[in-house]
Amino acid sequence: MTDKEIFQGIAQKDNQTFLYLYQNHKGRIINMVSKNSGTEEDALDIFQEGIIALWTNIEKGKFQFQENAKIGTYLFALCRNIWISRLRKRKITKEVDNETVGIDPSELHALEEEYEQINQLTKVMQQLGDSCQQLLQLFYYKKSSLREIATVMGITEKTAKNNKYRCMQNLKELYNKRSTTP
Amino acid sequence: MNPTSFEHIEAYLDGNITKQELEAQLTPDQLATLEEDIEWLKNSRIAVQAEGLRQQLKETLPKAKNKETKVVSFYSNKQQLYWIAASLVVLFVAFWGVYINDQSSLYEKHLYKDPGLPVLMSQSEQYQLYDAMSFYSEGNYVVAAQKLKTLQEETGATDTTNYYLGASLLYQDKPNEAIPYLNEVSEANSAFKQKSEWLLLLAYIKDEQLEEAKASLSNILSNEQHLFYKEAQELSQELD
Repeated sequence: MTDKEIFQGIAQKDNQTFLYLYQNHKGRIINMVSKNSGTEEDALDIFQEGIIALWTNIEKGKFQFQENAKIGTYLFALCRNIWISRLRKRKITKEVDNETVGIDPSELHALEEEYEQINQLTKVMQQLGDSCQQLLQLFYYKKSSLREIATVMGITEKTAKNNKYRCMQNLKELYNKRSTTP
Repeated sequence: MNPTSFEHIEAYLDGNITKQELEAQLTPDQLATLEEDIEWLKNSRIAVQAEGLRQQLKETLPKAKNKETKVVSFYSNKQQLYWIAASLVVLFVAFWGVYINDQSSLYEKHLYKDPGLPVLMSQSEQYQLYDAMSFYSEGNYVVAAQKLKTLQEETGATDTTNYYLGASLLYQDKPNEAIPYLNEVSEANSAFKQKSEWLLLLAYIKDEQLEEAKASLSNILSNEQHLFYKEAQELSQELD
């Protein structure tokens, strides 16, 4: 796959692209994580987060395709930094080799910040009730219409619309509450 | 943000109205926090999708991983056997490798991945199709095929279910199972006819049924208006 195809594949959440990236980069990521207090399971998890970080930045328009950009290099750099951040949370201090040549550190930092912000929101989302999570997933992720959601959830279309607003407001309140809690 | 301004901002984020049109519909109070509200809603929508993507990856990636683990443990425990088997594989590849690679690469190069059908669930009886197509569009062809088969058993086969069942089986590398479904759609006067003819041709290549593949190719090349005419021309040159 070319880098352009990979970029488009990530943007479209294409499973074949994810499998391609996994096959081509897993060795390096497993090696980096294994050498730094992690397991193969950790590496798979970090790979997933690296993909989510790239997708988030593409979706927000912060990461755009450039002819000379190697997507794999960005993916590895994001995985590396996410792993360092996880190690810090586990109170483990490690000097992880910096193999991410060719990426501007400030650009990488900006990509991580965008990912981290969205990641915080996804964590808060898990505090929503099951029906709210299901409704939001159906509408925003699966792109189902309100009518379809109403049928799946056994409610009216109007209730689906009202609940969508209510669930998003709940998410906002939970997030703000979390931000102000010391 | 009240329900009405929420709706207006969503319409703006979906590209249905311009920023000016959005601003014209808001009160001064709402305008004061507009940028903040837009940013919040944009991020929340992305966060919901990111969580969906996380689940998608959790379902997709371990399949590749599990496959590899089995192979590694076999090799490490039975190294001698491995070397004997490997030698046989090398011999086999020496004879057949070029031929197989040619067929595989042709298949991979020309494979058309149908993105799926946006099913509108206007009636509850459409739910099963909607459900199957949701899995299909996520690339979960195993579950999609199971659900489409169940749907056919319960309500009978249609061109739609035959086509997507055939495609789901082909994308699982089961060309032999895909062929009957694709063949049926190819012979019908269906909206999926031309796409089905192309996938059928690829299924024949994948299944190494070269005579049938050539016949399918000729059929497509006989229609200059065919959706896959150019691809068929290219494939024809490569097969020669």
